[in-house]
Amino acid sequence: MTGETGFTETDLHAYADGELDRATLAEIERWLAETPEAAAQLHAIKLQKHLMHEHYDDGLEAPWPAGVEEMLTGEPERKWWPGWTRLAASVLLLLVGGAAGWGVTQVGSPEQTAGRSFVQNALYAHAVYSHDEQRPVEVSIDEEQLLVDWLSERIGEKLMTPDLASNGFKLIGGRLVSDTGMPAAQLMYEDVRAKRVTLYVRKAFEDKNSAFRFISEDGMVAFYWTDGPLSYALTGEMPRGDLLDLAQMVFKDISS
Amino acid sequence: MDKRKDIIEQMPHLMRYARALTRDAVAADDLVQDCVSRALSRLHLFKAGTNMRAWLFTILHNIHAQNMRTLGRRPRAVPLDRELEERRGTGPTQDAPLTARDLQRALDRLPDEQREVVLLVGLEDMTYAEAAEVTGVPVGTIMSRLARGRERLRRMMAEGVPALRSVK
Repeated sequence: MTGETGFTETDLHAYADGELDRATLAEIERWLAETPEAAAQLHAIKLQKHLMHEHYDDGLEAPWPAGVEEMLTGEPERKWWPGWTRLAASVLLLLVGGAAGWGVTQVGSPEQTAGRSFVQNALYAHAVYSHDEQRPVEVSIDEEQLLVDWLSERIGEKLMTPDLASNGFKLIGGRLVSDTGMPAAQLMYEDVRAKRVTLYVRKAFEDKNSAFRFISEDGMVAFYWTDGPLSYALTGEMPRGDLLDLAQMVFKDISS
Repeated sequence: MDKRKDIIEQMPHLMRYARALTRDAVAADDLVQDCVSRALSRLHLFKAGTNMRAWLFTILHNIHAQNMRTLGRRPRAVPLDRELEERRGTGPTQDAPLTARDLQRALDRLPDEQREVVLLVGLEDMTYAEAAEVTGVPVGTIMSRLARGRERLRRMMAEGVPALRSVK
């Protein structure tokens, strides 16, 4: 389809892909305006790109394969081998068991089991309350002092309410939930599009501080960790990178 | 740790591309797992300041190519849900607007080398130079594969994608 201007199909693709320099842009746009056939082809390219995103962008939020999170967020000094070996073991377990799943799969120390149960409860609580239209929280942020005093008293430690406003999330309130018989607090945050994340807090299930751990289940993702006397789980339905930003924010705010 | 953070940033893109490339969530998971292990084992080889994204995608691509060679060109498994839908004959009618599914069905029928480039540039927004680095071919080859791939897609989508033939 070489026109008088000497543009070719290749230029058309380069134009659609942002590969042309500024000087050529104006010329090719003139050519497009005069050449319906080229304009139609450009439209087809754009449509393909658009449909491709529509079809595949879910993949951006897909849960990561088993073990990858650990490989990437493990302590920096840890060599990759041990992680890889455990990964291989967990993959084997999955194969043997024929189980479908990801996240923390290996059966581990009592601490791992306790952590697993903690984050599981956090996920349940998130699933139940974050989609509750009527009454997502027991005590709303309008009574912030009451909320903090009451929940702090029930969980037996001073509860902090991290400020996530710089990430677009604002605290709307909280509630008391039962974590296998132990009182836990659930703080709920919401952004302008009413997307919710919950911060689940209870007395630490392990006696030392920990790194972030990650789990993904039923479309929910959660980071959980222990900091001093309390264990925390932040849960949401979003790409894990976004949730990680929020978790880091929470961590910073609490420890400052 | 910074390099790991850079990898974490690329994870959603690796996941999306792996799924598009393998057409299978399980195979995609394996591919990304292998890619991350290999990247971590070679992290010292990554030059600071160079393109982490292209580096990771290159690793992913090499593993995929290796898998394809080892496994041979055996017929791929069609994911069950898709197969069910196609069996139900929910194909688009002639005058229905083109949907993402039409695109995906057409993409499935492109030769791998064209499909890869169409995805790298169109879905992952790679520059031609990055796509060339990832696939290990010259930029000129990227451009011609892209043009041929897109033209084929356009024709298939305009004329309707033939129903899925069973693989012999």
